Amino acid sequence: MEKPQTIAELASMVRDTTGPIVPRGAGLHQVIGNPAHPDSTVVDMRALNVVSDYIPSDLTITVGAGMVLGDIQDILAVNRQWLPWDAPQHRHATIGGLLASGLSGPLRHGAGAPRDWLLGMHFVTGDGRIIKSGGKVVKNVAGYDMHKLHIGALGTLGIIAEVSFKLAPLPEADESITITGMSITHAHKIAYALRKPPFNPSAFLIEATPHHIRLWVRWQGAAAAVTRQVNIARARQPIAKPATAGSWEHLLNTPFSKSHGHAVQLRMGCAPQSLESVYPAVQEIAPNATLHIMPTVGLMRLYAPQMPDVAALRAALLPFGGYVVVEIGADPMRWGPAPANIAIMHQLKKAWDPDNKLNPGRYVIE
Amino acid sequence: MPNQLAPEYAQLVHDLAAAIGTRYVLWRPEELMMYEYDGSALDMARPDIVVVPATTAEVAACVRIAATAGMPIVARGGGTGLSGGSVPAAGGVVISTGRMSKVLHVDDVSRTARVQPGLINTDLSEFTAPWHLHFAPDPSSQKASTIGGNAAENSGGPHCLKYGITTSHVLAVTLVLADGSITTIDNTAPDAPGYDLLGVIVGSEGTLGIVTELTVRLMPNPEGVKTFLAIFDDLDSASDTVSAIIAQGVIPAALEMLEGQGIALVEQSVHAGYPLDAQAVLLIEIDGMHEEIAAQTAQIEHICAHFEARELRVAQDEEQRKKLWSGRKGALAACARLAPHYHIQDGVVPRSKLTEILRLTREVAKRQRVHIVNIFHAGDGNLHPLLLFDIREEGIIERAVAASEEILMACVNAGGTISGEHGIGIEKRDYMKWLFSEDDLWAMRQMRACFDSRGVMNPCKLIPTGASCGDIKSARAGAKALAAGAWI
Repeated sequence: MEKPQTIAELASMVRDTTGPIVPRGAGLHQVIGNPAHPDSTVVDMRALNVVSDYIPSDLTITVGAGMVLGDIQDILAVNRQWLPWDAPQHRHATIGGLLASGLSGPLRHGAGAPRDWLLGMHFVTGDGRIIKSGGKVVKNVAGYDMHKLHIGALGTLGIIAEVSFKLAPLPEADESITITGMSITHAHKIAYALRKPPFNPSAFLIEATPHHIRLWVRWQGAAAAVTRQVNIARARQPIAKPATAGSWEHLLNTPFSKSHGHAVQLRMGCAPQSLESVYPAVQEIAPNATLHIMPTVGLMRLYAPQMPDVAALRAALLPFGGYVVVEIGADPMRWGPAPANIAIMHQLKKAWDPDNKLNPGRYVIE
Repeated sequence: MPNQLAPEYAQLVHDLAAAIGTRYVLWRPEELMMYEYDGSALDMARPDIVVVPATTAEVAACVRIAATAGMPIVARGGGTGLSGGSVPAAGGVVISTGRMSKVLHVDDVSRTARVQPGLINTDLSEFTAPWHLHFAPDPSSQKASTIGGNAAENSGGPHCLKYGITTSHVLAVTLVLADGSITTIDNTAPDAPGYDLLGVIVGSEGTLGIVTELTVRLMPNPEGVKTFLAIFDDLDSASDTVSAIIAQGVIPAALEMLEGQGIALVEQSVHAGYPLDAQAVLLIEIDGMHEEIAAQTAQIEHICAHFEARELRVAQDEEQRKKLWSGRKGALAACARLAPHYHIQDGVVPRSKLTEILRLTREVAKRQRVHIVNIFHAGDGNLHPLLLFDIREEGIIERAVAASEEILMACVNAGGTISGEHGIGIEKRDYMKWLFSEDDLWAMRQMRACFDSRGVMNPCKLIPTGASCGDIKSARAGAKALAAGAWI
């Protein structure tokens, strides 16, 4: 295990290492993807945990990739700011690890994905070059947005070393409701009804377990505006119950739970307008699974005790342009069919990691 | 021989005409003239041939034919760009998207629209108005610029302060690659396996391929909108007001500044109601739920009073709002009253550095004896110092370039960047080294080569290149006559 203290140290370590390298943050999501090469050198990124630039009045921050997202949020909260990014395990996971794993949460409905907040990055290529992409200011079109390529890439294209983000003011109010006891399709319809004017929600989640189906809806913003929306929603849906930010956190942090007997985690996506059409098939193929569905985003995660028929799931989603990825669990077809443009992706991997050092074999681009 | 086709191009023109029809292949000098410039202050470059295909397949055919003949290939939308992105710097074939301007589909469930690249920006929001949806990126050129061009340049606009620049609003593209093959890069199913190639396509200035179809995100129209004009007798107070608004956590939909001579120039031209003697005006627009607007109104009133705004006006109706905006969006053309030529920069600074950089701008203008008007996206820290002069004055171009470079370098030194929304193109290509190391540029070149190994797509743009582009005149000495059709 190596633990570089600076980006320069990280780069020289990468240059000097001949075998495979596994970049590692808190290690919470190392289970995602194919297993690491057994002879890998693990690079612990957690010493790169410095805020290198934060001027609150600019609403931007630059931090080392090894910083824990929750710690960053604590620093921002002092100035009533935050990153609207409800990633799982954010109290423990590093920002670099979360980016590399491509993890985000239901706030994507209202706030967009982490890629929309990421302004720039320093990353280290497989041959040990330190590359800057983007910058630190909120608007910047100088050069290609190479930093976006590293989101969800499991560190195979470069090691994320430092990141700059645009920030948002902390919302004055944050209120949620849950509605329990309906079909997934009905929950979906309620979600869409609660998206129409006057509603402007920040997040939706449909939680579908073998025991219950529950719709979560969240509003953030000016207190009076949030109160109005919650009141109208509750008048229309009398069975709705209030929920807190804490209950969202609890829900999102441990959806994959060995105590629930979960051994498998799948990511499924398709264009949001097609999601409703795939629910029946998904429920039929995986009746014992728990689903977390972001209806308006077009993203679902499936947690189950054993591997469902992944081929059947793919057959259900593919006609709608969707995909199924086995994030946790052994599956030789983890990533599914080769993505479009895989030849370009392979070339890029070869250009930036010529000796195939960075997490070889972990990702769809090997 | 104005109507004689150069013999070496006869076969090429013949092949292109066979692919898309004779009338859509332009090669006579008088036909090519309007394709030799864009909105930037560039030396012009004439294409050898212009084609106007109607479909993705026709674009692919043109690319294949041109690439086989070893010709550079440059895509062109509205030609309103301000960095030379659509100027055929090395000659070659210009592919105009002028006949690909349709809205193909609107989906109000996913809130997306599938469009052709030649669609005019405002036409999209007008088309989607019945669904109460709109396309958020709103460059000031939006009545003439195209969605394809917006994607190529990763365009901004006043309302990008709150809603983000074009890259956040493009979900999928159909792309013709340098070998004429057609591919799609599709993020409509989020987080699909594979690298986020769309992230580098948007903003790639036509150097990776030609986009022939796009799926874009549509935003719901806000419940309410309120537009203010804040009038200041002092530039520092206006820029301090901008910094304070952002620092207090108010993110307006738009926060624009006009300062100095620009105010009077715009007023005399557009009659938007700006006071002629003001030192700076801020155009502040907030949108959202009614309660949010009420809360933010109180904050803005408080901040403007604190920094001693002379007056804070509110647009009382849509007509007044449009009037206030017409001053902003028509600003560049209005400045023709002061001097016939211009050079414009697009630097960005951290928002807390605005006061400092605006002071420097005034100082530089005085020292270099050149008019500089700032009309810009203050809330983003995105400056548009507009240098106005008459090239007949001896030594003025050198002084204007020196002034421009000093301001741009100050933006970089303040932690900012050389372009916030106009793109690098030819004009700022040589400044890339102020921001990026040789290794950074190496990574960009390597990435570009993965899409276009022979470098036929819009060569000599964006990345500083070697000798092959040495014959392209740099924009730095360029100056362009102001015309009605230019926007910042």
